[in-house]
Formats: sequence, structure tokens, C-alpha cells
Amino acid sequence: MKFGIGQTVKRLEDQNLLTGKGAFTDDQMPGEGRAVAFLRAPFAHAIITHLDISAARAADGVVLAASQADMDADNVGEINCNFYPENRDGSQVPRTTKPPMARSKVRHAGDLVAMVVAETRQQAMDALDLIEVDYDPLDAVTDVYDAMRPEAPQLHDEYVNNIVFDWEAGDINNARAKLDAALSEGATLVEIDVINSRVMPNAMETRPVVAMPSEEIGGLRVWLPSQGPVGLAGQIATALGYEDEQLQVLTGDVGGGFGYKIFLHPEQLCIAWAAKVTQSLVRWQQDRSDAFLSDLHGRDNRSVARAAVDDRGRVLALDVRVHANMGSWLSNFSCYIPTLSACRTLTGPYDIQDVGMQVLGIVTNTPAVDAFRGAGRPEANYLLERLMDHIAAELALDRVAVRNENLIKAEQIPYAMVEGGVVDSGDMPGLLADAMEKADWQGFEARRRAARAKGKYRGIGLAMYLEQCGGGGGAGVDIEFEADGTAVIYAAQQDNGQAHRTTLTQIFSHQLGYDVEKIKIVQGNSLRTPSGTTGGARMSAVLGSTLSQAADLIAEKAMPLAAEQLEVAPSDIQFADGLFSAAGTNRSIEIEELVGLLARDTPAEHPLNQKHLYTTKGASYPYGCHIVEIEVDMATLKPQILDYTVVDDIGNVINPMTFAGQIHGGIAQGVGQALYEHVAFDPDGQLLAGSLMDYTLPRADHLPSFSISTRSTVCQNNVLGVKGVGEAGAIGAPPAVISALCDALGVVHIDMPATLQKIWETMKPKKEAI
Amino acid sequence: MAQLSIIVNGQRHVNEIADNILLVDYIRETLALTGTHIGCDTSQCGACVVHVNGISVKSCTMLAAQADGAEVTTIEGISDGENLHPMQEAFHEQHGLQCGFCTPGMVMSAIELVEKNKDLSEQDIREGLEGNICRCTGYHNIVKAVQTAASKMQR
Repeated sequence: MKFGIGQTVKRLEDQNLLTGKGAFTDDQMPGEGRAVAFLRAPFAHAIITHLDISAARAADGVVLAASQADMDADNVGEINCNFYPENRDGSQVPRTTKPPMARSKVRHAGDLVAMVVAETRQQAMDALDLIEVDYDPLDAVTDVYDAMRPEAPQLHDEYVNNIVFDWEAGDINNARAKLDAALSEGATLVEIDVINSRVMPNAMETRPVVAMPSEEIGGLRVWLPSQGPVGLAGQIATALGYEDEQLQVLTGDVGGGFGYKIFLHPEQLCIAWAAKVTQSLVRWQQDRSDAFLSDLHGRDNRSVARAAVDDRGRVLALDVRVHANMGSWLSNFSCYIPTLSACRTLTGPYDIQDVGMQVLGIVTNTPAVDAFRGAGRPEANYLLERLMDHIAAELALDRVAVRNENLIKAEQIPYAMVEGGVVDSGDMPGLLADAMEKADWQGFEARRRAARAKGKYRGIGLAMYLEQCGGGGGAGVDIEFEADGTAVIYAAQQDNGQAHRTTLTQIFSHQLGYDVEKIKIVQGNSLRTPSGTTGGARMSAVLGSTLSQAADLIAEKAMPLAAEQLEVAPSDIQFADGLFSAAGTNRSIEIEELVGLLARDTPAEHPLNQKHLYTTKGASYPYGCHIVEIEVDMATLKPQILDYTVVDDIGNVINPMTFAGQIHGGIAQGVGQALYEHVAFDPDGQLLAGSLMDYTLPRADHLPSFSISTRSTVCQNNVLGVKGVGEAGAIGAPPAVISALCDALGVVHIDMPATLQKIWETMKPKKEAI
Repeated sequence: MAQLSIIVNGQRHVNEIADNILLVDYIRETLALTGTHIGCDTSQCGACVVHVNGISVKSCTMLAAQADGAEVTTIEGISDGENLHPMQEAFHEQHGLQCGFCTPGMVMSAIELVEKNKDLSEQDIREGLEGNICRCTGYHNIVKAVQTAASKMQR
């Protein structure tokens, strides 16, 4: 059987997952080994004045009880932030690292204080109760504006007023000067200050870890869910003093990632260290409520945009100031997200040339923040889209007209964005018009009236989005051929549900006409699979293109070898659809058969084996339009999304079915952020929604069915012409939902998450006025 | 300790078990049937749904000892040899799963929903699956899968 690119191929992953044969981390040697339990700080900000773990150490079944002092005594390394921007004034950002457990000060509720390893989970949990800790609580701060005040509690000595960095993109002085000039010439100032709310990633599989010593590699073998095992393995090896080849991270099936499973979490270091110290198999099953306290969260920006706008709604100059909540410590990639990741779509699909962006990274007494589906780009797009709606409201213009006024026109493409990057392909106004027609925008007022008659406020909203992704390289493949004709493809990155196996099989089969049954995709072994992580919607554009090119190289190498087998001149060989044939003869050989013959002739190293790395010519720029219709019950104020239309330009599509699935899932997460998911902290920094009992993860009845279509132009910057689809839905959804909700309620703005309480508070003054 | 006699996927098991072991842990750790998953600690997510005497149950909310004498079916027990259950088949056909972690529970809940209700509307399905959370699919294709399976199962 052969698959092609562009076909709706049913997933190869499904059989195992549907029959209970998935191999998730906690499915490894189920129940075997010793259990790890953690003691977490009950305060968001406190000095540990006394810590005594001796009673826990002596408890039944306990083999290890430890605090940071024990890890320090063993010289265990800390978690590093791997990217720091430079401050606007040219100064270097002070570096800080995160010890796996708190040394003397806890900085968020849930910070690790101690750990226990015992023969059973029950014994480990019981022993936690025997640990004596005294805390001297300090005031806590969770909001970025509050944290910047001079009188605010200070988290780190290195970060005065809790400001980690003060960075800029574009030319902010120019943008501000142009803005002032435009205003003095009569332009209108439109200013917004909006919250991009924090979200909990909440992959359905939490972050279990299983670790054990391995004589074979002279170190440790660690199973954990990841988005690519190599980077984590390197970090753990370095921290524990192993060489890279002594520390193997294995990732099987992963129950969702969305960003945070790329990065090193404190527990992973603690558990690997525990396996090393106890020289035994240890395991940790992370509880969901533990995940709320300790997983890397996403988003959490508060942003001000000031735009000078002409009377047609065109943005003449734009000045953006972002306040990014970093949480209490700096995770691996945390500083990159609000800066270099976000600024790449600072102007989104719009033609705005005088623009600057200042980003302040601010620490607070909250769990650390890092990449979550879109990672900076949803935040930037949300700010722009809210700005467009505000411009329309302020100048009494149509929301669509304001967007059309500002969109990059088809004839402007390739379009160089002032903050860097060139949009290589697309037709944004054409796509917007198409989306409006598909959503029957013109017919909406009749639906609004009909809804009103049955006691509902109905609203329609839209959002354009543009993402920059799919650029760069670093996603290798290593292809080995076996005697039975099997092609084993060791691939970078890691499937978390996106169907890497199906997609890569499709690409390889398409390119070489290779039998699908004889293609084996291997990911998730740090000692074998190439480095690189899943993230930034780069799988098809970078890894897929890499594989496609590698397949071409294999075909090229195979031509003379096939000629030899067929006893003709290499120039007489033709290759099509998996078949090498000799021109003018009836002689031919299938590629799988050739692979088998060559394996017999050269058993040491198959001549067609191919390692490959590929770097794209540039990034890809998926963009699109989301149109949402929502109804709000006049009596209960409960919102319900009724219609959801998306048109995307995502370049070539490898598999229409999995493409749509990615958009569906992204929308669900965007709707969750917009309406339901509320990471709320009380003034003491306690997480108020700390479990799935009180954090509303969207359920089936929160969402409608979606209408998804494409209006694609081919990406010019990678071999496959694809643009990337993993993040797009989550970028477009939040501003579209908020636009629709505001339209329904007749208000200009409501911050995310627009929970029932917030809708009620928004509507209360209006009702009282009536 | 308690004596447990239970039939799981048609096979009888007799075990000496701790009084406080949850059914889900018994299924996963004692029987090594790891298709049944644990996704939360508050009985919200539904990843652990199994059938106990034909009723879908969150196996994290039940002690193993309470299932003494019961007939339990897990995701491993619904296919007929090589042939997938119509619900499994429909999830495959309609792309009703991505990471697959919620899938076993989702499938088990959906089977009971379809077996006990005729002429399910889209809204009925969405409400019927309210106890199962999926973070990947946005439910669109799960609903389609249940509709597809319903038409086959109720034929």
C-alpha cells in the first residue's frame, strides 16, 4: 500500500491507542518500583526557618527523604533559562537558576520543599506528614502591575522591582515620535490595556516519571512524556554529572504536550537523582492537582497598545508595551516567548510600518510560565485584534472595514515586516472576503433579531491571525534500511497526538513510492533519535521537508545501484512510483526489493542509509480568519457559541483530516482561554482553581461543531510548501470569541477569561442604567 | 486486606487486595491492563471509565473491593478478536482521537451512551459525554464518531 501527500489517510497511530495498547510513561512496568512523593510549600512567598526531615527518613518503607540541602551536598545542578534577551539600555539581564527544591525561600505555592521515596505510594505520602517545616510568610504578589510597584514584595535580589528584563523590538523611539507627530496632525489616539489570561496546559496525561539505573549505559534510564527527549536528557545528565551517553530519556506515547513538555521541570531532576542515589527503580504518578501547582503555565500578559489612527481606521503608528508574567522562576524558554517569539507577529496580517514594542519580563509569586500552543504569537495577535475592534468602536466604523483598511494587500506580497521576516505568500483580503461569505456575515442581523425574540443576545465577531513558524532547521532524520526491505526512520521531535507517524509515512511513501507496511517511524529515544523538539508548528515544514529531501537523496543514490542490478547503464534508469525501470526494456525492480538485495550484498552498512538535516529558506506564515457567532442568555448571561467558521491559508496540506483535527483542537483551547479557563490567585498567591473540579476545561457541551476550510497559497520557503497548523487554531480563536461576545453584549471590551461573573459585572451597569 | 473475585474482560481473577486500592489501580497495576488511564484526581476527566456490570463507571471513584463479584469490561475487552468494536472503528474513521489518552474512557462512555439511548442528537451526545474531557480534538470529531457508531450499532 502507498500513501500520498494531500490524501485523507487514516491514522496509523490509532490501532494501539484504541485498543488499550498505548505505551504511555506510567504504562512502563505498571506499579513496579518505589514511589516518589513531594512536599510542596503551602505559602506563595515565605522563608523556610526550620526544616527537619529526620522522622520521615526513619518512617516505615522510606528509602530516601531529602531536601535541597541533600541535593546541594551531592552537587546536583539547577535549571537554567536558556535564552535571555538584552535590555534596551544594552545591559545584560542578570542570570538566575532554579534549584529543584527551595533552598531557603519559597516563591510560589507549590514550590518543592522536600521529597520522599518509599516502597509504596502510601508509605511515601504518610512520611510526608512527618516532615517538620516552619515558614516565615512574606507578602505575595501575582499581578504584573502590582509587582512593578516599588513597595511590592521582592522575589529575587537580582531583579529590582521584580523586573527581569526590559527589551524592545522594532524602533520604539521612531514609533513613538511618529505616533506623536500623527496625533498632532489630527489622527485619533486609540489606546487599549488588555489582559491575555494565564492558562494551565492540562494535557490529559500529566507528567509522570519512571527512572532506574542502567548497567548497560552506566547511568540512568528515564521514561517521561516529552516533546523530544534529547534536550531533556542533556539537561538531566549535566545536572547529575553524567555524560550524555549515560543518561537515556525514553518517551513512548504522550498524552498531549502543547508546549510545557519540552522543558525541564524540577521534579524530573529530583526523581532522576533519587534513582541514582537509591540505585533503584523509582516512579512518580503526578496528580492533576499537583500539575496545577507545578506544570509550566502559559500566556499571562498585560499589554498596552497605543495607535495613531486616521479617519478610515488605518493605523499610522503603533506603540506596544507588554508586561509578561514570568512566574516565580525563569524556565528554559520563558524569556523567549514574550520577546522574540511574540515580536515576530507584532503587526500580524496588517501593513503597519511604524511600530515599536517594549517588553518587560516580571517575576511574581506564581508557578513559572513558558511556551503554550502559539507561545507569544497568540498574545501578539490578540492585542492587534482587540485594537482593531476598539478602533472600529472609537471611530464608529465597521469592524471588517477597519481590518480591510489595514490588511497587507496581495500585491504587497512578499511583504517585509518591520520587526523582521518576509511574508512570502498569501492574499489576506481575499481570504477575509471568503470567510465572510462562508459565515454568511451579511445575513447576521436577521439572526440577531431572531435570537432577541427568544431571549438571547446574539453577536458575531471576527479575528484575523498571522503566525510566523516553520522556519530554521535542526530536525534531523536518520534512515536505516533492513534486509526485509523495511525503512526505519529515526526522526527528531516527538508525537504528542499530532500524528507524526502517519504524516512522515505519507511523505516518505509519496516521495519514494515506498510500501507503507515497510516504513517504521521511531521517535523518543535520546540515545538514538536525532535532537530537536516538537513546537512552533514546525513538524511538517521542517521535519517533513527534511524527510522529503532525504527521500530524494535516497532515490538519487539508488539509481546507479538499480542500474547495476538491472545490468543497464545508469543513464537508462527511470524512477517513478517506487519502481526503477530500464528505458526501452521490460526490466524493472521495486525499491523495496532493491533495498533487500543491497542489504544482502553489503550487510555491514546499507548503501541507501541516509542521515539528513535541512534548513528552510525562511519561516512560514500561516494566516486566516475566524468568525464566531455566540448567544448569551438574557436571564442567566450564559454564553454559548453556536457557529464557528474558519478559513486558513496553511499552504500545501499533507493530510486534510489531521489538518482539520489540529485546527479543531486549537480552537477548543482558544475558546477555553476566552470563556472558561481561569487561573485565579487570591491576594496571598493561592491558586483558587487548583483542580479539574473548579478549573473549567472545555467539555463537549461547551463547544459547537466547526466549519473549517482552506484558501491556501503555497509556502515558498520550504520543500513541501506547507505553513504549519499546530498552533493556528489557538491563535485565531481567543480574539474572535471575545469580538463576538462584545458584539452580543454591546460592549467594547471584556477581558479574558470572560467567565459568567465577568459577564455579569460587565452587564450590571448597563442593566442598572436601563 | 480483602478477597476479591472479579471477572474482567471475561476472565475471572481472584486476588488478595488492600482494602483501599482503587479499582483503576487494581486494573492497571495488578492486572497490567494499562489501557484504562488516570487523568485527574477528582473524578472529572473520565480517562478511567470502564463498564461494571454494563454500566460505565469512573474506576477512580470505586474501590476494587466494591467490584467483588462484578463483571468488568475495559477498553481491552470490547473488540472481537481482530475486529474492532463499532465505536473503536468509528473513532478511527472519523479521527476522533489525537493523543489517545482520553480515548479509552471516551469510547467506554460513548458505548454505554449509544447502547442506552436511541436517536441521539448532536446535543444529546455532547451532554452525554460531559464527564469525559479531551484536550486535543475539540470534540468535533468525537461527536461525529459517536454518530457514526450509533448508526452502525443501532442498525
